[in-house]
Amino acid sequence: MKAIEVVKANQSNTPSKWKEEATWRRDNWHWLQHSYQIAIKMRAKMKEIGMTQKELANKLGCTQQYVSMLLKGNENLTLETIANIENALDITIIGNLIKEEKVYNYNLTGNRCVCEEPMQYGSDITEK
Amino acid sequence: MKFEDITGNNRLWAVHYDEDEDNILTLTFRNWSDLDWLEDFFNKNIDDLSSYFHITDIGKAIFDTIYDANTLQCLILDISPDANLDNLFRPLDNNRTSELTLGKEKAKGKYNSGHTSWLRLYALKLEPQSYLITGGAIKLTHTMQEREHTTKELRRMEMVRNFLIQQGATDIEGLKDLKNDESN
Repeated sequence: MKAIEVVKANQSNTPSKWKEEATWRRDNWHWLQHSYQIAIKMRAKMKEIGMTQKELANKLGCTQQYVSMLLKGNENLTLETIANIENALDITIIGNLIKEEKVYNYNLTGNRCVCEEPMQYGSDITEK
Repeated sequence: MKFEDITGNNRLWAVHYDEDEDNILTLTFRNWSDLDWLEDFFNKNIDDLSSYFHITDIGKAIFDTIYDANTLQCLILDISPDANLDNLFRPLDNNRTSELTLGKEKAKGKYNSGHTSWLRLYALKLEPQSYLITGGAIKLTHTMQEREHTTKELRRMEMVRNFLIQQGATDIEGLKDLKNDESN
C-alpha cells in the first residue's frame, strides 16, 4: 500500500485549525508586528527594573489579566493605552514623530498638503 | 496518531499526536508566535544563540522568530494546487540526492532577519509533491543530535515512519536503509 493511502486511512475526523489561525495572523500582521514589538520592549523594561505584572497593572489602572494579554503581543492597542504604557514604564514606543521626521503640514487655504521641515514643539502651524 | 490534511488536497499533511490537543503544525506555529514560550526557549538556549548566531538580545531573537514564522506560514498558505512542494522541502541529509518515499525532509525559514533562519519544519515525503509534517523546531546548533529538543524531532520522524510501515506502507523505496540520513 502506498504511504499516502495509509495516511488517508488514518485521517483525523476533526479538520485542521492551522489554516484558520495562520490566515488570521497573516491578515493582521500589519498591526500584530507592532504589538509584538511593544510587548517585547515592555518585557525587557520590566525585567530590567524588576517590575511585576501586578505592579504594572496598578500603574496602568487595569487588571493583571489585561497586562498579561498586553505582554502576549496580540492586542490591538489604542493610542491611549500606548501612551499609558510609555508613562508607566518610562519607555518610548511611538516617540515624537514631529520632531524626528518631516511632516505634511496642511495648507488651510490651498487645501492641499505641502511637505514642511520638522516642526518644533510650540511652533504654530502657519497658513500659507 | 491521526493525520490532518492541511492544504485540503492531499498534498500537505500534519501529524496529530495522541497526547496533543491539535496537529503538530498548528502547535508549532502557535509556539513560534507565543512570547512566553519564545522567551522561555531563548533563555534556556542563550548560549547557543550567542555562540552560533552572535545574538545576545533575546528580544531580537524573539522578534526574528515571529517575523520568520510569518514568512514561512505565508509560503504554506500560498501553496497553490499546482505549486511544486519540492521547492519548499528538501532532504534532511544535505548530502542525500536520491528521492525516497518516506524520506526525511525539512523546510527552512527564509533569510530575512539579518541571519539565516533557525526555523525548521520536519516532514516525511509520502510521494512526489506530498509531505507529512511530523514536527518543527528552532535549530540553533549545527546538528540536530546536539540538543534534546531537536533530537526529539528525529525520534518523532522515525516513530511516524515506523507507524506508517506498520500500518501497511510497504512501498519498496520507502524501506531503503535511511540510517545514513544525517540531520544538519
